[in-house]
Amino acid sequence: MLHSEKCNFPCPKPVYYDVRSYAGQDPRQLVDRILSGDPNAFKQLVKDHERLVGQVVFRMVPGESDREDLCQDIFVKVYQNLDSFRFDSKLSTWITRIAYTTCLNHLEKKKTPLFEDCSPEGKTIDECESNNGDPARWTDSRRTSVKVCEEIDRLPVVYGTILSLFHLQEMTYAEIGQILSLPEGTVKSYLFRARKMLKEQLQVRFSLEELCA
Amino acid sequence: MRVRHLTDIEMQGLLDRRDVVVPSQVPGVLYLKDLDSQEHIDNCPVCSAELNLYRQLYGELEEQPQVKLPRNFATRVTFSLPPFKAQRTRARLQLATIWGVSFLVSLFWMVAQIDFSSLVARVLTSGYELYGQMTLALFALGGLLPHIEINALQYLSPLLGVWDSVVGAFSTDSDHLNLVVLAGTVLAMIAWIDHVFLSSLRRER
Repeated sequence: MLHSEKCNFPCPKPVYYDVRSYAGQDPRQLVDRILSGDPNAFKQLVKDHERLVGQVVFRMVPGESDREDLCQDIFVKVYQNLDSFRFDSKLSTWITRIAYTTCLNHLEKKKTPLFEDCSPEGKTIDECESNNGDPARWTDSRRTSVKVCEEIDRLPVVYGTILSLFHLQEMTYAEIGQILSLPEGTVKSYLFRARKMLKEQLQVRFSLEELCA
Repeated sequence: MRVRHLTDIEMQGLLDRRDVVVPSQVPGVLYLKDLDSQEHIDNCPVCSAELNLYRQLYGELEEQPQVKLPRNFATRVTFSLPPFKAQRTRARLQLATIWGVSFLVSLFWMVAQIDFSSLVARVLTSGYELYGQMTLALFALGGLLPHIEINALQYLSPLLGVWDSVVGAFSTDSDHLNLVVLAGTVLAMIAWIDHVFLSSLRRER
């Protein structure tokens, strides 16, 4: 039965949180609200970081049906460990690190190598295209994008992840280093190798005219 | 003369240094401060083609499609969590439990120091002394333990040492028990200031 205003029992007034009011809120305030027990604040945290976490998971664990469950596990871990977060880094960096380590553990269980070509050969262009968010944008250079998308999936997992964090999430070398527990110099080196490898793979598989068409 | 082409590192370096691109110029065209490199790129079809390929690759990497999770994903995750409790309240309860246990242990320790043969007589005749020792323990431990920090723990051992020697020096002399209580209060104040200082430091961070 819903609480009625006519009820004489001295019930505490329910507190309603408006999730919209948390959009764009300072991460410290958001974390404080979550730790005070506000579920809507956590919902906002998930909304703010789901793309980032999704990007890491989809990049590191390609072609698996349980990727959404993995994303969910990551946010549960974030919730469980939030009281230990001391803002030594950005909240997004900390969450990405949890996502990365969770994916690493998942890959270890599946015995997937991190530095070898590990994409499932069975992945088709159609599957790759189905991930595209904005079909209108892809009409112009659709073919090239699909090729690049396909070739990134063929790169070693760590290289693909670094490419995604640097180019798509626009993270700095230092932030990527914190996430992957690597020195900045190593991140730069991996990034260079990843782009070179990607370019060479594209050159091997497609002619120059095709690529630049 | 052998022509030296740009290496992959150099090409990626050129494209990573976005400040060398002049925004007012034609979009998509790289303008270098290093005129020699620019001249070479302009005149060398190999380097020009390679750089174009890299430039296109960079563009594609930055425009890769974002992953979209289902619209209700955030709601689903929030509902899958265990019932929301104020985690800080829980932490405070844990600290209060630690404090309570520590206080009881210290109480037992103090009782163990007392000569049981004359316990009743001492309680009757020196009740105030016992009260003083307990107050001291209460202040010192009460001030410290609910706010345990790694740095505060550094003070815990010397503080307890001071407390022990103060109690040892004055516990038999009931005239000085006020001093014992005062010392306990001072210790508690030190612990409290330490806690406030550490909290403010953490907030600044």
